[in-house]
Amino acid sequence: MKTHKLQPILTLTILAVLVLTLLPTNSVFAATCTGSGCNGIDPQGTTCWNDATIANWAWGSDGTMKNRNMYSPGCVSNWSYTLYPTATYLAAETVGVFRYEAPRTYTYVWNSMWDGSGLVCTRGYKGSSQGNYDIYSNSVCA
Amino acid sequence: MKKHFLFLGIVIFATALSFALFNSLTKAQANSSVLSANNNIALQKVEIHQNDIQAELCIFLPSLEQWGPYATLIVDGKVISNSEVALINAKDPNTAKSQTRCYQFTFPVTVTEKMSKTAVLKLEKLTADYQGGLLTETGLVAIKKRLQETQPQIDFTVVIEKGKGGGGAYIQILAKPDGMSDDQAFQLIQQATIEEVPETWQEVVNLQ
Repeated sequence: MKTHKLQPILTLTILAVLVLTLLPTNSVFAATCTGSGCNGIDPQGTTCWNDATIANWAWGSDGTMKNRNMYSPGCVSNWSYTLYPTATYLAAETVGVFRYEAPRTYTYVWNSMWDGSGLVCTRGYKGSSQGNYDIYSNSVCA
Repeated sequence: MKKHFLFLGIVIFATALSFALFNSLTKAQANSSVLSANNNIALQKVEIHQNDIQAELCIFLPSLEQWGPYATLIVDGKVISNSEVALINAKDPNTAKSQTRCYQFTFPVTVTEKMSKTAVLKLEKLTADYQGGLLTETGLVAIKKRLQETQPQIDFTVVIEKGKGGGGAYIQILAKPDGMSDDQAFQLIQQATIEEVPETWQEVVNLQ
């Protein structure tokens, strides 16, 4: 079969048009997981982390430690995220589900995701060693 | 004939490219709107409970970033910081797409009969993780670049460690000027990680 010389150019042009018009400029790629499928998965480095909303902030009794109740609309999942200005012993808890107690000093600590289709509450902790916390935030829900 | 096909192809390609670029540009412009202080904040309601006072404010934000507002309540001369801030309708996908968002601030106050009947509610500032924060690739690059502009001698990296059920991260200083302490360097790095917009809005609220 004889192929027209312009066929490759036309094919490439049509392909380019399709890619440029159909691909969103704010590229939305498939979520890492959704809902209960995210339970126990570390959000850091996933699409869930990148599209997350800070649904709720709570300060610890020292007024410095912060806990964020994070929610990813793409993954329909929440997680707890605790921050402190300097490296210290921190924990991030999803109330009634699990608490991640960091084994060393960090500035940022988070726990694994939990199904966000319902109300999920989080809280943060700070202390002098792993499991020994004297500063904590109220439980905040989203 | 060949020339016609080629010309048609180029025209279609250029049109598609322009469309994509325009789309991208208009979104970038929408993200960089400037907040004009007082006209963009509206007090929705104040609720007085036994152990706290809650106030709801709707704020037109500087951009679509994850802004965290910080407010104080001045009662009888005492300044009380918010202990919690909740984004209203946080799980509604349209909330993140809107530059106007409403927040519920909680102030830990034990309400007594002796208390003043009015208080001053003040929105102090809006803060956001600069370019998504230190724990995203783009954020780390942007924060390093930002710090380089004022502190070219400070270099750092962020160490991320995964554990069972979660993870943690810390800042590791790689270089700093002679005479600068680690604490000072940390402070400067932390400052570079935060975008802050001071606010002046305040309103007298009735506590009765």
